[in-house]
Amino acid sequence: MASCVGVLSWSNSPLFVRSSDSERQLADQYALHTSLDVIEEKTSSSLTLHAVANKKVIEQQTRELYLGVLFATEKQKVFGYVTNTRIKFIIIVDASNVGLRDNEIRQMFRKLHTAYTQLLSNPFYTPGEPIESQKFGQIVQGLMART
Amino acid sequence: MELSLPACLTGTPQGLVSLVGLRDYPQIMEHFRAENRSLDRVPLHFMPEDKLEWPQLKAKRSNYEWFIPKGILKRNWMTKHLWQIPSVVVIFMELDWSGPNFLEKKAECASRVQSVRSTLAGRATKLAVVLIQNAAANPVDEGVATEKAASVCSECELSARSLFVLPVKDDNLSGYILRLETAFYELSQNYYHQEIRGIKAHRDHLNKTTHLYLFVRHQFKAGFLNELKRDFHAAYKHYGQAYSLLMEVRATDTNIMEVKTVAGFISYKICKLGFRLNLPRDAISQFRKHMDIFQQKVGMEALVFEHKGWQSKQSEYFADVFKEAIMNGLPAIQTQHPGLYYQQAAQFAIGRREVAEELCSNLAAYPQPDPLASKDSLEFYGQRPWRPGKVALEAPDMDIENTGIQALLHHEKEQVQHSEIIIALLEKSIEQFSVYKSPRSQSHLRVTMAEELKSAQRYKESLDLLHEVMNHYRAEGWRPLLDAVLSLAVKCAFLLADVSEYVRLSLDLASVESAVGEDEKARIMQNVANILEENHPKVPAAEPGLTSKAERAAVGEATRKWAERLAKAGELDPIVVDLGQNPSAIQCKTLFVSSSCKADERVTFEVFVLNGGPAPLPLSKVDVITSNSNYKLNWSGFELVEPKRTFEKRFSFLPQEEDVNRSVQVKKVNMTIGHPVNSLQVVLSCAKSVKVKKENPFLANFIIPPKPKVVMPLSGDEVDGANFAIDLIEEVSTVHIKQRDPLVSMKLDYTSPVMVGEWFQIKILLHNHEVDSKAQGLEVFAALVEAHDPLIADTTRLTFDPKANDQEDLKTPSTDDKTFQDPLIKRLGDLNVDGQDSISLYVKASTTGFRGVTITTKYSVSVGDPLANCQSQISETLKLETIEPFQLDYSIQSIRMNTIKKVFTDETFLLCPQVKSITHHGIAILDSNVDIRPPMQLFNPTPSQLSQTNLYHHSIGQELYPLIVRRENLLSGLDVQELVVGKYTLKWCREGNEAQPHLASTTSFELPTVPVHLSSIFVSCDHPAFGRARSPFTLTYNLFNRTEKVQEYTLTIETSEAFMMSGNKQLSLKVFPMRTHSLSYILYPLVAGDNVTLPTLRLSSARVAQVQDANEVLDRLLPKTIVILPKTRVEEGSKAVDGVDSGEAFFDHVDVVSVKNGPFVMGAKLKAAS
Repeated sequence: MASCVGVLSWSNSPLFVRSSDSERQLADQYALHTSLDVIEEKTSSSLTLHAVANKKVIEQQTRELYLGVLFATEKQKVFGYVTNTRIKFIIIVDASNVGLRDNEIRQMFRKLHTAYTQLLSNPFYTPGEPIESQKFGQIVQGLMART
Repeated sequence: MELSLPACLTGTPQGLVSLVGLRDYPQIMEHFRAENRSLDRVPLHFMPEDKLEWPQLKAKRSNYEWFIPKGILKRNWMTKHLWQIPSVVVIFMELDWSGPNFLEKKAECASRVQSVRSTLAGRATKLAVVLIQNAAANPVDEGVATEKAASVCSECELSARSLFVLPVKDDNLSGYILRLETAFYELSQNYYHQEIRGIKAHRDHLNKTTHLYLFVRHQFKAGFLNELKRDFHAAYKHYGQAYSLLMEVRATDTNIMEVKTVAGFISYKICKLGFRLNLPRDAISQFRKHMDIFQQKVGMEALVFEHKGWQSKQSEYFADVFKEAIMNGLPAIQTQHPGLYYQQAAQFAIGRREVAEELCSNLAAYPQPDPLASKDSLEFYGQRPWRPGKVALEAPDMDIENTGIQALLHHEKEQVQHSEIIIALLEKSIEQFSVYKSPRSQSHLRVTMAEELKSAQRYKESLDLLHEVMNHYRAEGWRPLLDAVLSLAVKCAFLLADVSEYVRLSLDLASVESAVGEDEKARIMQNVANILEENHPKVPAAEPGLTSKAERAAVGEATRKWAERLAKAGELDPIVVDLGQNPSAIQCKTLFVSSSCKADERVTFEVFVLNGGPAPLPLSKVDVITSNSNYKLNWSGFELVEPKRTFEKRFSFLPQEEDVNRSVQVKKVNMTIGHPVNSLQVVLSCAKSVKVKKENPFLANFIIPPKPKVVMPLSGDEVDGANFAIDLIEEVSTVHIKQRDPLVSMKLDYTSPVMVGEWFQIKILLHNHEVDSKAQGLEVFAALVEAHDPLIADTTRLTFDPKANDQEDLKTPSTDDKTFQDPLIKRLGDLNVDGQDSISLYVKASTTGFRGVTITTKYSVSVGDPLANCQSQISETLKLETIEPFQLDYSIQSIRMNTIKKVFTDETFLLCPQVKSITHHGIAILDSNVDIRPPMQLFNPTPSQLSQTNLYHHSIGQELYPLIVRRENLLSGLDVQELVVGKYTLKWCREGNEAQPHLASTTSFELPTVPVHLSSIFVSCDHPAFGRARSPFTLTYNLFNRTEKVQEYTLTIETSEAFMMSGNKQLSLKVFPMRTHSLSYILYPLVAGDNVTLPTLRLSSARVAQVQDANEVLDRLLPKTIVILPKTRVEEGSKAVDGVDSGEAFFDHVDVVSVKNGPFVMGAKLKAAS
């Protein structure tokens, strides 16, 4: 269903990228990277950092995590989702996949978020490091395979 | 093939008005010229017309039954209506109402109008006549003018509304012209309205099966004419209908080009009008729809590039229109702006180039005769020049078709500059993306542009563009993208034959961090190794993927350049490759063995160089550049570092004196690689600096384990532990140089706490334990901690010499800035081995609290081989508590030693200061005195009673000073006044320091105020110091009246049981002013004792206040008891003891009480006041 799934760290570096088509991998990476422009624009207003007593405290306004369509081209649509800790999930869907509803995309993101939370609970995973978890990979594979 | 839109389509149409007969009036024509008309004037285009030539009107077709349209839009139609057929023809004539030959002129005018009308031959063009009046503002009768105007109208067969008058001589010419314009505009709109109706009238004769083209044409015409009429809503509607009608046309290979061309025209108009009518969403969705519909309608296989080109152009035009709309105030957002469409256009253009390259690869000779010869003289838009006017359904002649296609391919190959088009589009796109804050999209576009520049053989520009992008991707950690960009850059560098860039980029691409495959890395490094080959460096193999014909040619050219460059390798200076801090396949790590080092030790550090390539690496020099350029750290020699092996070199140096307390940092490591003779030498310059990591605030709550190291997989069994280690080496590129450990010991000797006001002594004992050398230039520094705080600085003094320094001159040094800017310095000179020295530091504090004092001893020694001066320092900070040494208490007593609250004039009283030591250390009181403020005065000079007394913890010293206030010294005559007693001063020092007078401190206390009353009566009592039992003595009371009035009293004596007495027991008496009245009594003591109660004297008076005063005085001044000695001795003894002897005995007894150094000191020298 999804043609590419990407997880990007808070500092915008890629943690996990998987494309259904290995030939499109580079193009997908470019798409993920450029979609960050839109994510930044959409989230910049809602998140402010304050330094209080030498400790960075995050003041978070309530914000919808799901950002909707980041951009759409003739060939594909790019959806975004940003967690409260600024981990970005990006799902790229083929434009030919017209039957896809917004709700289904939301559901995919929720699954991804849950998988990420579980991954984070693993003491052997260091936050901010590229994701190598097989379990996470399987879940992503599931998102891409589902019809 | 035309992809560009014609100018007549892209411009905004304006109604055309022809002006006839203005040749002689250039000043009027000036006003109508387009360049003089501002935007707020009516949108008309004025053209001077003198020849009276207009296109012939075609014969109207009355029947369309057998008519088959040959195409959709005629090429000349728009131009005709824009520039040739006027909507209004205005005839200017010179005609004054009151002119001499009015009738003649009128006839001329009518004939002129007639000739114009006949030339227009049936067109609906409006006619208007403007009469130019030279007679300036002639006050002609209104009625005459109206009449004459009507006659002109009828003569010319014009309606009155088409006749205008223009007074040329009037100043307000431009105002008249503006009004004329408005009138013309109205006429023009009427004309176009009529035309539109004419077009609509055709519809009834048409049917959709055969005349679909005409339907489209008519709708388009209606739209266009509506634009001329300035009715944009109607135009928008008609264009929309035209578009949907066009979609009904069956597109075949024959007519697809025509349909697409016309669809492009109409869509362009719709989008433009959409933006103009503030319907941006509709405009965008129209464009989307348009692109979607035609995406699959490619047309002929052989001309796919044409389709791509068309798509690219469509996008570009849309972007242009969008951009124009934004300039007119439309707000755009990041996800919807012209840049996206330029980008799309660029993508189509790239697609076009790719297809074109494929299709145009093998071309036959250009066909003769030229099938494209007539391409500029076609009747319809979008038709093929070799078969004009062919209707879709007719089967084309394949031979002619093929020659036409061949000609188009030739044209595509030779005339079209694909790269230029693409680069221009990308530039526009990047510009737009930068406006809408999309740095990453820009980067992506830059990469695309760099690729394009590469294919345009502009490698240098491409490389420059990529550098920026690389930094961006690297900073955000997108290694896969970085690798893609790097490999593109390596290709450019190869084609440029730029050795330095080539090596740098190759090393980066082949580094451990890179995500490219191991085989690829080996290939890249083999190329680098080729360049470094001994004696005859080889040209690196061409990068893969350079396969197109043009690229193959470029590779050939590049190879030649490489060979040329490498042939001279031996003579050239080494090529410097600045690796910066980027990862590289030849890794270099520096490691200080320890992160800090003593000044007298050698600093050692190691340099590791890893050869990540498949070939041996010839390393000939390693040069380390540190932050202090005085260290010369280099190695030269020659070593072949085997693949996947590490070269290690250990350096060491003695830190220089200026680096003590600072860090030495490795800035750069320059590695020279290449064989020393006849080969290319490359200097790899590797920068080192402390990398600042971005901190993630969200990770603050995680405990992050240390990062697992990336370990380069090293080949096979030969690997030993050391070589594996390089990736595990945590770089240490700075070392902190510390002071050497001092061997001179410093001991501080002092007895805390500090007492307020004293010179507190700190003894500094120095002992040189240095083994080899005497301590030279020994200096002791003392400074106050927190000297920036005025509460501390202003109340504390430091000195080495309390004798010499005047108190005010003492500086207040600080340790604020660690440089000891203004510390007290004592230079002690040299100290021999095992020598000792001592010095005292004195601290004085004027308030209580803590004081910090830092004492530092610095010296230098000559150590090491060769002998080097080495600084050492010892530092110690003391925290000293300052306390008050004593508490002062005081009381005022009457001469009978009763504490009193108030004193009376001319009556002696006692000041009784009482000093309590509250420190554990003994205090020696050197002196004490009172400084009495007039009008109070000491009754008689009294020496200090506490001098030479030592006080210990909680001991109290007390003194008495008799004071008196003389009435004549009082300035005011008030009954009661508060008077200041004065100051009490103690001069003291610590016990044991009495011999050092300069250490003595002086402490002053302010004494309190005392209420002083004027006294009215004074009583004294004369009696012996003691009585003896059963031996009578005389007691005399003296009453002294201190007032100016006679005082009358009744006196009574209350007898005491201890005495028998004789004298007046009750008496009325008068005391005269300033006179004394004495009363004598003889007392006979009955009992002995040291406190035998005397009889009490009482005074009473008629005046109540006086009585109270007098009795207070009696209580205060008269003794209550007396000492009566027993008579034992006389009874027992043989010798009579007289009073004096006994008195001495008595005082001896008292003396015993006042033992010195005891806790109590009795004022034994007290004298009776009177």
